[in-house]
Amino acid sequence: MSTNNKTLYEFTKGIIKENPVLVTLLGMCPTLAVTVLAENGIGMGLATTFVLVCSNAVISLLKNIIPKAVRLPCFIVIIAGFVTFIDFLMQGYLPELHSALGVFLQLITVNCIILGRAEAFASRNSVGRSVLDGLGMGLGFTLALFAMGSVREILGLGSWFGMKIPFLCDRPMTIFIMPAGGFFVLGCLIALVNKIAGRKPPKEISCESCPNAAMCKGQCKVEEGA
Amino acid sequence: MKSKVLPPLVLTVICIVVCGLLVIAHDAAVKDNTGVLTDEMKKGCNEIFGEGKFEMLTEKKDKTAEPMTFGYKNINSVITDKQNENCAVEMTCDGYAKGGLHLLIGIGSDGKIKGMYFLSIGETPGLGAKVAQKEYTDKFTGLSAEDDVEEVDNLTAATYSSKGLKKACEEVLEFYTVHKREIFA
Repeated sequence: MSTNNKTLYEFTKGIIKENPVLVTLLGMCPTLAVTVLAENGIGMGLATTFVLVCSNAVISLLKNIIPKAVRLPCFIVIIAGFVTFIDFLMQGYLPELHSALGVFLQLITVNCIILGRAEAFASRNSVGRSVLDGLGMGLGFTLALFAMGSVREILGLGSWFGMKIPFLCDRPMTIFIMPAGGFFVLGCLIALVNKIAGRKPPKEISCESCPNAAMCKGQCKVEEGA
Repeated sequence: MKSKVLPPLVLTVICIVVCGLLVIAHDAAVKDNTGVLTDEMKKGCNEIFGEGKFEMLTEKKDKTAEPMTFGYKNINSVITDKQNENCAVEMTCDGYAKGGLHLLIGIGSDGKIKGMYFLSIGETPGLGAKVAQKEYTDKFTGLSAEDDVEEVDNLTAATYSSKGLKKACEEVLEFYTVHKREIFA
C-alpha cells in the first residue's frame, strides 16, 4: 500500500470497515440512549469526534513523555479535559442540545471508542495519522448515530429534524423511541452494514473474522496463551 | 528511584495543565445567568401576561444581588409586574428526569394560574416532553389555591412528567397564597 493510500485508509476505515458502532460494537450506551432524535445523534457524534481528534492528537504528541505505568490515568485526564471543555461550550452556546444530551455528554470520558483509539492507535502512531484516525472514527460514529436517530425519529415520532412527516406524524410507532426500538434499529443497521461489506458470520472465532484484527495484530492470542 | 517519581510527577503535571486550561475555558464559555432576567424569560412573561414591565425580585447577599426564592427549593426566581399585580415564578422540578422541568408559571392578580412557559425541558422527547404542549398546559390555566390540581389528568406514557408539573403548580399556588404581600410589597 502506497503512503497516500495508507493515509487515506486511516481516515476511511472508521466509516464502514471498522465502524466503531456498527462493526466493533463500541460506545453502545450513548448510541442507544441519545438517538431518539436525528439532531441529538449529530450533536453527540460531533462532540465525540471533537474529543476523539483532540485527545488522539495530544496523546500521540505526548506518547514518549507519558510513562507506561500511568498511561491510562493520563489518557483519562486528557480525554476528561476535552470532554469538560466541550461541555462548557455546549452549556454556553447550545443549552438546549446540552440539556437533551444530559449525562451522556459527560460520559464521553469513559466512551470505550475514545479510550480504545488512544490506547490502540494514538499511543503508537504519529500525530497526523492519529488525527486522521480520530476524524474517520468520529465520522463513522456520527454517521451511525445520525442513521439511528433518523430512523427512530421518523418512525417513532413521525418527524425529521422537527419537520412533520405526513401520515407518520398522525400515527407514530412509539416503540421506536423506546429502548426496545433502539435495539431493533441497531440490529437492522448492523445487518445492513454486514450486507454492504459482504461480511458473513464466522464459523469459528479467529483473527480472520475479528474486526479488531487490524489493530490487535494477533496480540490477544499471545495474551491468552500467557 | 526514577521509576517511582516520574510517573506520578507526569500525571500531576498533566492534571495541573488540564485544570488550568479548563478554568480559562470556563470563564470564556459559561455565563452565569442566575438572578438575571434573560430575554427568554422576558419572552415567556410576555407570552403569559402580554406586554408589561417585568422585574426580578432580588435580595442582597454578601454584597451581590441574588434572586429571592423565599426558601422554596424548587423556586429559582420570582418575576413581577407590580403595575398589573402579575407574578411569574421560575421553577426547576423533577419529572422523569431530575430537574427535567424548567419553566415559568404565571399567576394573575386574581391568584389564578394564567399560563406557563417552558424555558427548557429535559424529559423524553415524544413521551414526557409532551407535558410542555399547549393542549396540556392549558388544563392548568384558571386553577387557584382552592382548586385540587391533582384532578388534572396525567398524560398517557408521561405519568412522572405530569406528576412533576402538577407538583410544581401546587407549590406555586401555595407560595403565592402565603407570600402574596411580600411579592408586591
